[in-house]
Amino acid sequence: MDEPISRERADLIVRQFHRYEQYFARQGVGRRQFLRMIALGSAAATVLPVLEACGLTTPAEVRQATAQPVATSAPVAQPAATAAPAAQPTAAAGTQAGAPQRGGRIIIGTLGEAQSINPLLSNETEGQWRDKLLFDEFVRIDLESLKPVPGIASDWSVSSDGATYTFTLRDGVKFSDGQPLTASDVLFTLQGILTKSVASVHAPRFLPIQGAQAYFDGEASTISGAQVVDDRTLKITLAQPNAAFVSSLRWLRPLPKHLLDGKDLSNDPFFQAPIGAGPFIFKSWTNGQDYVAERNPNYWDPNKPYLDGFIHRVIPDSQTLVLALQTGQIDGSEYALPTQADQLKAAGNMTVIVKPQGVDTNGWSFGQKSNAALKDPRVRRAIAMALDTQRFSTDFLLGLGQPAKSPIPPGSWAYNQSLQPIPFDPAQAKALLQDAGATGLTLRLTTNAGNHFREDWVTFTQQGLSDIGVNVQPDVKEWTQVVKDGTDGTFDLICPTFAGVLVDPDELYLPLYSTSSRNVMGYSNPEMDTLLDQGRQTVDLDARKQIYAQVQQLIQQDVPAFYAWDRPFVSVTASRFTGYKNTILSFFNDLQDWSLA
Amino acid sequence: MTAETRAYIARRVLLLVPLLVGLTLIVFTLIHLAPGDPAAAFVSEQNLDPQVLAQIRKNLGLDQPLPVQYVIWISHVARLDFGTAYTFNQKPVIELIAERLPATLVLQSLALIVSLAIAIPLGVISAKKQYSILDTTATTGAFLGLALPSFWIALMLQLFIAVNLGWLPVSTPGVDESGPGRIKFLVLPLIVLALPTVAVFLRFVRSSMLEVIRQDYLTAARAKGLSDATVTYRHALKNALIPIVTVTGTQLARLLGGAVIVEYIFAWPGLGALAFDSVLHRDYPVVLALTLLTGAFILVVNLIVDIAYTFADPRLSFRS
Repeated sequence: MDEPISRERADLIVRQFHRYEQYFARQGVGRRQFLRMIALGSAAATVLPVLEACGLTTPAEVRQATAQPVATSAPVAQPAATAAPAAQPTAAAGTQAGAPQRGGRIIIGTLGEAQSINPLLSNETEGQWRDKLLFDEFVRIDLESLKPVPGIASDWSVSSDGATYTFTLRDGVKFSDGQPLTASDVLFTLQGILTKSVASVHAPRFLPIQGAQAYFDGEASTISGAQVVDDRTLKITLAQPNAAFVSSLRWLRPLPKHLLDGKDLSNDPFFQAPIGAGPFIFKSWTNGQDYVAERNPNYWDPNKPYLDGFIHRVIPDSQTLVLALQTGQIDGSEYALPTQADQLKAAGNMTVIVKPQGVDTNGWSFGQKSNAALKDPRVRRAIAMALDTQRFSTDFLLGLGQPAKSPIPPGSWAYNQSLQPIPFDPAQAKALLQDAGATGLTLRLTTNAGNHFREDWVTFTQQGLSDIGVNVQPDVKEWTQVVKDGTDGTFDLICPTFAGVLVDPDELYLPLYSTSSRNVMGYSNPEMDTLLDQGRQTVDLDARKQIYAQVQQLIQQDVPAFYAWDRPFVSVTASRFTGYKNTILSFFNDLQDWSLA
Repeated sequence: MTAETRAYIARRVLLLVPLLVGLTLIVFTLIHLAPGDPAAAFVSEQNLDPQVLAQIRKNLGLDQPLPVQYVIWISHVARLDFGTAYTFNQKPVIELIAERLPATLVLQSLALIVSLAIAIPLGVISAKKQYSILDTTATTGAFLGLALPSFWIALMLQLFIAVNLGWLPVSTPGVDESGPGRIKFLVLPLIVLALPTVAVFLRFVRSSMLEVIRQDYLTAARAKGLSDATVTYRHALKNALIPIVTVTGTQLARLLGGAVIVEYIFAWPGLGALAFDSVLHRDYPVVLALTLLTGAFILVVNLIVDIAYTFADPRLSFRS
């Protein structure tokens, strides 16, 4: 039995319960589902008795929430795999016996309209998602492990020096007009991305290819590092070995050369009704309303997609979006964000899934440039040790969000499973500060106004650090100003960290490498530089995994940034659909795997 | 039509040109003064690259000095070429506007017709039976209609009629909905749009009827033995409607401008929503084209209203 919970702590839990109940109600999550999420979360043992004792729930409700779900009830996924008892439902619902049935259509609601469906130009979530299903990706990212996995390229090999990649295209890939997709189409698309006048936002990701810069600058008529070997083989040589390059190939979405050769790829009428090799084909797009796509009969996987099609519908007001979900006008969304609104009753026919950890890992970065005292790793570690992140996630996040240990998402192949959290130890923290001679510190903590998780975190930090004699001045301001501080390095502590990882751990290179222009913290450790270089140059995934395990270890020791907790997010879909995976990427990313239950 | 009237109209039409040019100058300057870079809409934070950014600016013509950009733009507009949008899938601006126009036009013109159809009879009855229960109710209703913010009414209608009662949909018709199926999607936005205009019209009709009803010529008409209906509708209403022409004219401007809030809340893909999005994305060609179009429309409507006066009220003429 745990120690009894103090009155103060119980009050906090109750207060947070009300805030969360409202927060989730605005996303279409009803009270029962909300209780169920708490029951499945990591802090159920602490939170539920408090709620019951305060009369906020009845014992019957708690029993219902903690009971094993019956097969027909809407499953609520685990926020993280680690805390899951064995019998919990998983989000991957497409595991039933028998082949998924064909047919059906899903209407997905979004707040913002896509700005472009030209895969060379699209740079925001909506357009990129439509492109992904319309053109497919040369290399895909596994939704759970975040490893690069076969897309249009079914296989690839890497030379021992890690610089030359040989890709084999999947057999029988066709564009939706029936023409075969060959290596020349892929090369054509690559050239399009690297054509300067096209001004493709993805060009920087492909500049590491040998001769790409010369081609971009117009000094060469071909990319020397990219060669078509035969119809199904493409060879790409990099100027320097870069293991993260394969993950960048998700931005290579092949265009049909036979329709576009010699055309202006930045603005050809083709892109008003494009033809690709993806699972769904373009049907129509009424700007500001519906984007309609149908099953591609020429898709390389004859069984997929199971759905006849989808509609991507713009509903700019988040309140209306939730109402449209509840009334069944739309079937799913990731964008039911909070707005000012009343409590809403939730519909019973929706499945609500808490996204896995790692979508938005919060904490703060230490600004060594603006505060010299933070240059001492002992000071940084001491400050991190003064905060009880477990307590924050239990009391403030009610166990829905989780304490974090690393910038790398826990589901990623690169996540170090054996990582121990930075211990919560105020006494030792004080001693470390004494050692370092850093007493009477005053630190400014910058975060954006309006994000109440982060605002709570500022308060929590202020309390925690006052216990070890560090004074915290909250600096809560508008998001654009926070971004400016975060990119200029003018901060003591800043939340978010601006040093996160979404897909490949090499994303840490720019913020943490000592000589990188994007290293705004002023962090410098030769050991870290060596590891980041190795991680970039090592091809073998297992070896890379070892290297990034050390990187994560070193981050915990050195604490250039403190990764403390994960913000909870939910995805919503009508319960009649199945086949989805819970992922930190877009919930609807692999719609070709979805079907009617 | 007299020679004076023709000369007046010609003068007003010619005046449109400098007015529109002035309008474009102001809008062009304002939109460029507003902070925010349209090229930023093309790049995201994680792959911001200076050489790509420079090329995007060049492609959009943003690397030129402002006066040069203006001259280039206005010379294209003179040839009725409004260019292509920066965002919105790089569509030609004219196509984009043509695609969005019907949604706004249908909604706004229906709202105007419904408002007039309700407000005129109600206003006449209110005036004839001044201080009756019906008059008091109509007046109170009108004040409420004016005072309640449209976003609140929209939200309440969505909650009670669409969610709780399930009678009508909360938002936009999908592309599948066609013909009569679309009507049910129109009802809620129509109510929200019509409520304040009914209120405005109602107040105008009532007060202007009250003024007319007390005129001597109506007493004379009654004394001649004309029926009550003839007196009210032929003699009184006709004269009372003159101010309504002005008010209707100002409301007509909304036909093209759209109603941003209503379109936003009901996910109605009209010109108001387009204008809002294009400002957010700093999509200069779309913002400029929309302003120019709306401005021209308002100027023309005002001119038509002025001319309409001479027909509605023969006492008026354009003699200067």
